[in-house]
Amino acid sequence: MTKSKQRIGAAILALSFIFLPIAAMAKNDLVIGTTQYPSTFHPNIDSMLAKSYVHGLTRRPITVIDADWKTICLLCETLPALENGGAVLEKTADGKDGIAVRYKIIDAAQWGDGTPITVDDVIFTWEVGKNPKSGVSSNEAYRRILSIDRIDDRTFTFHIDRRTFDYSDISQFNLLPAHIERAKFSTPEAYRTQTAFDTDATNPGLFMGPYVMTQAKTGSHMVFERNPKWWGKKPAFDKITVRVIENTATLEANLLSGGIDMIAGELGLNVDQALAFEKRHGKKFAVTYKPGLIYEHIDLMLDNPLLSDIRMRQALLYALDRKSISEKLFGGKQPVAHTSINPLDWVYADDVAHYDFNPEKAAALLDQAGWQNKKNGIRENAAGEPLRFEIMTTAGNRTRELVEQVLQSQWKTAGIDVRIKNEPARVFFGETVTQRKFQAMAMFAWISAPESVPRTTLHSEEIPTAENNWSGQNYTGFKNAEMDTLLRNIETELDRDKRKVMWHRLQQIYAAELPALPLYFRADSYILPKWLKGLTPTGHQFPTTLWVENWSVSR
Amino acid sequence: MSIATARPIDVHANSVVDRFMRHRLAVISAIILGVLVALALLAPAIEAMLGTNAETVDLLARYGPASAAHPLGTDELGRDVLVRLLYGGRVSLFVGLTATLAAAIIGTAIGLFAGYAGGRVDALVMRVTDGVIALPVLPLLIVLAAVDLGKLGLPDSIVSAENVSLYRIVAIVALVGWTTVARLVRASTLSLKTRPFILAAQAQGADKFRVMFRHILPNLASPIIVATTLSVGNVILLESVLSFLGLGIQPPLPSWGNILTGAQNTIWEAPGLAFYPGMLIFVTVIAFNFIGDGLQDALDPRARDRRAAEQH
Amino acid sequence: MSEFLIRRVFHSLIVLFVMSVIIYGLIGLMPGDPIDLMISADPHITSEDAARLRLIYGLDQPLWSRYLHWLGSALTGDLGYSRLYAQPVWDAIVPALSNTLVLLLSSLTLALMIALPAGIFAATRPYSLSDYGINLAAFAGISIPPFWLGILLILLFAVTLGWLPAGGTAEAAGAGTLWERVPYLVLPIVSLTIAGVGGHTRFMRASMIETLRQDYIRTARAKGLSQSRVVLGHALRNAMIPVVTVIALDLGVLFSGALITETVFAYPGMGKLIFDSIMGNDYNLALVCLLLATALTLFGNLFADVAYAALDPRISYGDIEA
Repeated sequence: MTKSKQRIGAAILALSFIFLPIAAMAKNDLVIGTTQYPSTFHPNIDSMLAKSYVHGLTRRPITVIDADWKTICLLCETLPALENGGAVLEKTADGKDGIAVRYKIIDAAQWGDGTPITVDDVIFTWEVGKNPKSGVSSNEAYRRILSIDRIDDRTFTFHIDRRTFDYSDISQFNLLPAHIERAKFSTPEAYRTQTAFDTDATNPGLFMGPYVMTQAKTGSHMVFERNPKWWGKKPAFDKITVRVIENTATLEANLLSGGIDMIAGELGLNVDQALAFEKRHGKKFAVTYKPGLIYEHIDLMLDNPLLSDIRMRQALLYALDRKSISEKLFGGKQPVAHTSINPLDWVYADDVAHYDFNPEKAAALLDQAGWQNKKNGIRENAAGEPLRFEIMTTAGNRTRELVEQVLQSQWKTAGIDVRIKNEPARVFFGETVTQRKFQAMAMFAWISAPESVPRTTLHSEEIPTAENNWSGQNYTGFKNAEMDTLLRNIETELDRDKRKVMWHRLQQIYAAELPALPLYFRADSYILPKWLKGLTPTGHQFPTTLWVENWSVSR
Repeated sequence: MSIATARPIDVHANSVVDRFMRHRLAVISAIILGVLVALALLAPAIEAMLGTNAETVDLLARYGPASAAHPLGTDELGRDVLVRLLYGGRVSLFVGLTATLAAAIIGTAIGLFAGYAGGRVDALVMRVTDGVIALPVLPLLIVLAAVDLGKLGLPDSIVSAENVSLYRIVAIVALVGWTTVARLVRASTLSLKTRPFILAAQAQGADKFRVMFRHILPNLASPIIVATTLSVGNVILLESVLSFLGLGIQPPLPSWGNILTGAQNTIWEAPGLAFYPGMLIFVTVIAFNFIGDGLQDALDPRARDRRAAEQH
Repeated sequence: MSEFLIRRVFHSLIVLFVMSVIIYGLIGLMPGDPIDLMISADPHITSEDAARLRLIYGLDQPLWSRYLHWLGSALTGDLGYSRLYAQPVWDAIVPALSNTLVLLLSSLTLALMIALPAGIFAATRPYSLSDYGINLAAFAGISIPPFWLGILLILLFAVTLGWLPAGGTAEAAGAGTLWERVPYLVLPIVSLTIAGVGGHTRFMRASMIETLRQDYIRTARAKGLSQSRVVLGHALRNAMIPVVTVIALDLGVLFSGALITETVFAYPGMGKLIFDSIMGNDYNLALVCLLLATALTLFGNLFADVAYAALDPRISYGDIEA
């Protein structure tokens, strides 16, 4: 070999070294790809999935729902219950049914800067939460707490103004570090812009999980390193980087080219994309699907005279072959929904009306409802008006657009002319849905929690109006006295068996009345490297990162 | 800057055609475009010939390979790719042509009016034009996407039609796209109105509108045609970009832009689905550009290269 | 000269002010408000919460009052707080702006380095084979859907060949030195360059052909000067005028034009910031970003006029103002 050739060889070597993707060469690092960057890091302002995902690495709630869908303690010693004396029934000052629940924070618990986590933090969090000026998104949960008793530095009792069955679950009570945040809270109006979570986001004192955030670059990535003060099991990775890549084609490309190690299931690829990915690269990556509590459905505008007829709503559902959508489009990974309650939920009841694909029944119901005649394949009523609806969803959401077109095609076979009119999410959720401006159908998803009472979506008082500031999520305008009673009673019934009966009834009404057309439960798809073990999808709103210390590397 | 000057149309149509024919790339482009337009127009016939339906979803035939029944295979919902592309071509070409035409008409009217009136009116109109150029298109799009067309008094047949998104795009492009033509026309009008033949017409007592439309406008035809042809391609490209952002033509109405955007999700798995619409957009846009270039040479041989500088 | 500049800057400020009113009005016209978006994402928000949050964010005020409030604090140097990024607006803009400038300036430089020689070369041999070739390439660059191009580049160079990273920034991969940054910039810059080079080439060519027809060039030729002397020594200066003008006028558009490239390459820049702030209903951020783009356009206009006068001795500032 001549000298010049050698030199060229060396140059190529150097070049290829420069151009090689640098990420994740050593396996004590992990790079996770997601599609969204959190807007604020404050745990109680503006709830969003992207934030709970990264907070799973750095923070622990007092209680949480685990992968078996049971409420467990993370920061507390034992879960309070009437049986163990941790919870005591009591009357509030104005004579209503209340409850007192006692928690003890585990002794080892401390913030990332070594300050112990104490009742001071609990009380401070409560003060911020219930202060109307603080900018906390929802202060309902804090206002329910009438007072807090300080038993000792680590033990406290909440006095709550009502008796709900989930009294022991305080997973929404995200602790704030009083030693850092109290100074920022001196003027509550300015708190949301002053909070250390956003002005000093890498302060270790904000965290109490296995990792602390050491870098946050807006819109790009966040870096997490081991928290030396973490008291629990030692996590496997020295460093975790969460990279945000919104475009899913680029996200996949990064996975294939080694820029990232895995794609988060919570905020990553849709099932159809994941299936296509698996088909091609299933040998190199482990793809797991977990159906969850994301309920895809079509809200029906019940004020629409056509849709106020129950026969019409049933006919619409009978005319759909949801099973083949689930199987062909989603590889059977996203089960057909019959009501808003997920089959994984313990309150789920299967013996409610199912509307399996049945074109004859659909036709019969439509005939009965007065839409016998057909012209160019579209049904008409006696007045010669065509049977036509408008369906809306979030423009640019690929999966929904696909499903929408399948539905449209299936309805057309049944003689129903459904027109698609989609809007950007910004408009769709910003006004059309929240202010009930859709004419017939709005397709979107609800993200709920295990045994979550669908009060805001089904109670007649939750219909958004200008008077109630367009709050409430009963967008269909569903009114049913028995449903209202059930919703109220389920919430306050402490006896599991009695509750199960009521839940059963609730699902019966839902399936019989069909305020919305249930479609399917969305599944999260996790694309993981073969060597990553111990990541267990939960199927509910708590992300896998809350158990990051169980993730391990196997060779 | 306004370096363009208008020239009377060359009355010898033959020499125009001759000059156009000499621009080989433009001729090839015109042929390709002609074939594409013909195919798009024939979409229903081809659909019938293949015995498929562009709208009927067949979940059992997703991502089908090329076959006699489906020359380019089937897409993610089992629909024939070729037929969908042809229908998409209708939409994309329609958007490109109507939107630029509308923009050209508005721009011509405004430019003619401003240029002929001159003085304060002209200055005001030109400041407004500058403002429109600086206007952010994105919020405008979202606002228009949310406007309740029913309240604007439009007939129900338009409001509930599935191609509302198509009219929206056309409206937006027309609303923001007229500025190029307006500037061009205004500059030419300014210089034309001092020409002897215009002054003569005025002296004979022809009224303002007659002078504007009968005497000045015909002389502006060539720069307008060239500018319009060149921007058809840009509009088709713009539609694809808007589709990418979820603000373009809405499914189920196919357009090359939204077919391409849909396919990019599975580009690693089914690259063909993304390749065809991308190629079609590319070829069409480039063809329009060459035809514009050729027309420029043909219609206005002397000023041809000067005007090229105006239109990009 | 200085009087001219002062007057132009003053005019620009007025246009900026008018634009701020129009943009604020446009954003206000958009349906819904940030609280509606929050409600749809969080079932726990009650009607009291909604009213309280509207109060905190000042959304209970009419649009004009909110605008005056913003204007008041903007004049004291406080551009407001970005709700979407939970930072003061300026803090959210600075990193995005610098990222975008790196991208835009390098791709513009690269595009000009290719376009100017190519355009001049083509202009000196009009309707030759190489002219056709250059035209074809120029139009090809203009005609590719930008996101398609981006994905094809990623497919080829990142996934298939593995030479370059598939988007993101070097920092995200834990690298920081200049050398480590370069690979992350290659594909976005190439993609922007391909999209931009065609237009500049066409311009340069057209402008040069036009200049070469001028009488003084003919005179120079008649004197027996060589082709390269004529082109580079005499014609170039004049031919550059429209080219510089167009580059300057394009500045503001470039800004938001990088949106597609930034999205495809997961590159956090201004285009993305503008898009997200509008889609996320972040009034303050969207307003300031759009004003910045407008200001850049106005500056481009001003710069174009100054450059015009500087490059062309026949034009004085008085002429431009007319």
